Amino acid sequence: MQPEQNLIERARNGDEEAVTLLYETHVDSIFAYVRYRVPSDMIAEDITSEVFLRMVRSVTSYRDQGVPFRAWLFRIAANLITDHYRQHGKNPTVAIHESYESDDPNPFDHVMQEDEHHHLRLAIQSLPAEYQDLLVLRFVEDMPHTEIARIMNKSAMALRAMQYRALKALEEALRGGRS
Amino acid sequence: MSDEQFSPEEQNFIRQLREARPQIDPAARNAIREHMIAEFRYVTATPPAPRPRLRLAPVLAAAAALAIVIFVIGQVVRPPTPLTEIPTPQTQIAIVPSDTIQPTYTAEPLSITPTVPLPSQTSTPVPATAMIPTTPAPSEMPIVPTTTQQITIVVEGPVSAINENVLIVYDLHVEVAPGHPILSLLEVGDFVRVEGEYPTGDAVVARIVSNLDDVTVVDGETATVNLEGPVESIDNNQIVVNGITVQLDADDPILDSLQVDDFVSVKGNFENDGTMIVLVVVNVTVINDVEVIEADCWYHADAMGMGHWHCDGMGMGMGMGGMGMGRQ
Repeated sequence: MQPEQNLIERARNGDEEAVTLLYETHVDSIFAYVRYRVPSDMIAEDITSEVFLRMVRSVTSYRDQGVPFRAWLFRIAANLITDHYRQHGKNPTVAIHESYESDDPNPFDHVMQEDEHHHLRLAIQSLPAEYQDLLVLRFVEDMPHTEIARIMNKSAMALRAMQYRALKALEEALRGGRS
Repeated sequence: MSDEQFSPEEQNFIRQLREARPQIDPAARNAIREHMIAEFRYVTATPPAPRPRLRLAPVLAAAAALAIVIFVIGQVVRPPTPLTEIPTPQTQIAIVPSDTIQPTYTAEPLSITPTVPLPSQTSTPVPATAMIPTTPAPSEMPIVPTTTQQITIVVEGPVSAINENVLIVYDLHVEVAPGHPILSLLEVGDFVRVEGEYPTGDAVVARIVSNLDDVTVVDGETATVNLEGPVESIDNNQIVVNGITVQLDADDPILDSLQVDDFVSVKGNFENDGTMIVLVVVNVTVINDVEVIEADCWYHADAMGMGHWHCDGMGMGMGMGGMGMGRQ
């Protein structure tokens, strides 16, 4: 039995340590994906929290019915993001310097970097949802097309075609954001 | 990703994406973990509620009994009047998991409200000389009609198994018409949306099976099926893709340039054209900007002798013609 499957089995049997290990394994990826998709850290934290709450509520009955565990978590996150936008609509207002601290030794560099990251996130968030998913899962989380296909319910071939279009769209969005 | 080629500009975008990877605040990370553990303790300490299962027979019996009681009370209180037609109640039960994937499903409460009109409030005028029976003769007792129930079920979820023409979705058996082309498209793990009837309580008899989880609407038409693959043959406005006959509009401009071996993405709906089931196109696009790597595509033949092309991001290291490899 693979290590993660062993953890899932232990979690299913009420092992708290196993649940914690599953959390630590996936929380960074889930948060990064969600944060790229929503306009603020606070919203991303809320959604990330909800992902793992749903994980523990369902882990006792989870079965790998063709959807691997990580893909299952990402799919939950994708659905929660969709729910969020259904309820709240698109809100482009973003606090730029959320992580800025007054005693930062290199405040200017930090602000410049945050500004670039902010533009990149805005550009990403201006794209169609499926482009956002594909770009973040493929290039930030290094997922293979086969796994992304499970999350997005598309064929790997369609994702390859979409990837080309998504990168073009990102290029356009970045040019438009800086003009 | 090592087999993919990116332009310098694309490589720059990818680098920026990775550098800008958001990091969760450590305090938030801890708080989320604590909240999760608290929930886990609660969940494991509380026995799970029994999964609600549809029990139609008792509910139907109760509804029928209620209908009889109401009718009989009406007969006792008022003179009998001709019954009007009782509409057949239409009840829809949606078994749809919440937006997030959960291996369990929640059935909404069954709501059946049989309608039995009470006799009219106006009394029938009686001639003074007529004999008025105190109770109706047995032969004149109106027959209590039985209500027929049509229950539509909507199921959404992953296909966990396929046994010939029966799909298993969240432990529900879904029967598809034997030989239906959708069966050649579906694989275990695919997400489907099924609409059908639940006539006997054993299996859902599917009317519509959709492998599209996003609503695709083009010019007011909604597509339920997604099909991708190489064009195998072209016959006027009908093409064959993955062994499935696809019907385009006779004047679809794509027919001017479409060629055999073009890779297409088709969205449409299965319809019976009188002789066979064809996929009527809502939207079709040719995928030309992708280099098909032979090692990543193979022909997947199933046990019924049908098959379809399948392309995978993982290099299989085999040429075309790998039989029965399936998808990992």
